[in-house]
Amino acid sequence: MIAINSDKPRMIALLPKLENDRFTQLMMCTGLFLVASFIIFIPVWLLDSRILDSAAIWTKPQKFNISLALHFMTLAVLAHQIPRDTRTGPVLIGFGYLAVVSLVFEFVYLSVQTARGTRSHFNSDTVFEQIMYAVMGIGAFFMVLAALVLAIQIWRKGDRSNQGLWLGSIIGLATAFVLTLVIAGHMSSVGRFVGGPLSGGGEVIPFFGWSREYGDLRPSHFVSLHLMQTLPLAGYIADRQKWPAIPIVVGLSVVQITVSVALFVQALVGQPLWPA
Amino acid sequence: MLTEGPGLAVPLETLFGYAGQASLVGWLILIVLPRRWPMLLFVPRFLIPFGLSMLYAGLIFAHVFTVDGGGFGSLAQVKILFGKDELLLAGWVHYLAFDLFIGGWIAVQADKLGIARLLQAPLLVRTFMFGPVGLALFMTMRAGYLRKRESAT
Repeated sequence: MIAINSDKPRMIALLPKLENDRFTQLMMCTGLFLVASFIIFIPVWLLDSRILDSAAIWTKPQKFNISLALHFMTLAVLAHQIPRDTRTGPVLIGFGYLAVVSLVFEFVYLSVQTARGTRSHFNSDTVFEQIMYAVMGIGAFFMVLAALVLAIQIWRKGDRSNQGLWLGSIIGLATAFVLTLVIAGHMSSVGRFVGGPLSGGGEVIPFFGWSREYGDLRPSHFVSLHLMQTLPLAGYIADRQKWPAIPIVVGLSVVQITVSVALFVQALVGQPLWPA
Repeated sequence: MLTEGPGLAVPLETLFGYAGQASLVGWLILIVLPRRWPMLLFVPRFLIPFGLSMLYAGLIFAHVFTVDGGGFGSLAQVKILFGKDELLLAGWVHYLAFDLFIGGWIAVQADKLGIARLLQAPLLVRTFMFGPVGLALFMTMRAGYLRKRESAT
């Protein structure tokens, strides 16, 4: 780690306010690993002409790199609401390592499968790939489980002086966990589309690649998973601006949960989010 | 479902040319230009090796698992692997990137030891031409220098 003319331990140059305890280091370094992976995958993203299921083959690992970098960095930042002793205690360290082990496994398998030109998720071609797909499900569970564990620790021992941030973190982390289990769990059994082939095709929403022709479960997965970023952020802003933090956090959580459930139902009946 | 999209617009020979030119610029800076400006030294030590590494990353990830019978388990497998032009280029860019980075390390270490630039030149040229030979040469030389440096500081 970089220590620049400072007697206080600092985590990284970008976020100097973070402490450099074991949990923060573990989460932030995992996040940085993913950001760096995103950067070093850019050339192959441009060079590789293969298309898997209607998207450039490296688009999927790149989406995972961005979204999981955000996930682990969020855990690192939000954990600063709890005392250092709790943060570096056996519960968070244990579940933190479980999440990182899962990430390393998912990252390696996803990258290798992509380089091989085949699916990682939804792949039952061989017995080995069936087993790996199942293990990936367990890995994904451990990665979001870390969010729930953190929510519980913040609820029990978190700093309540910033009420919006405190409540936003708890609701955001916990509901993101629950909704992700439901939505991603369903997606893992039926595939990402409803009413279309797994290989996709047709009009898509730019950048996200969500279908405009049939039901797509990924928008609801996206909206629900990011509750863990939007609610703490809203609470944090409300605290700083001296706005009524609790109504804002509760109101936003109701809205965002409703949107994600509505998107889920819309996809289930086979309707696209934004019909072409 | 795997399909083929539009291919790369830049021919491999062109990429080979760019990589070679970038590497040459790096070596010229290391061998003949002054070391006193950190920004200038940054170019051969980090910037060019990073660029070459990115090109390598693109080529290797796109092709490494696409060659039937290719692998790293035996000489025969490696030969099959590098039978594909994209991977041959990747391997070449790997040489260029790592040789230059080692050259940068040697230059900085040699400056610390006070080895004259006149003597550094053949060391660096040897690393440029025959990577590991230059490295081994410098390691051997450095072993003789270290004691002297310790007593000096």
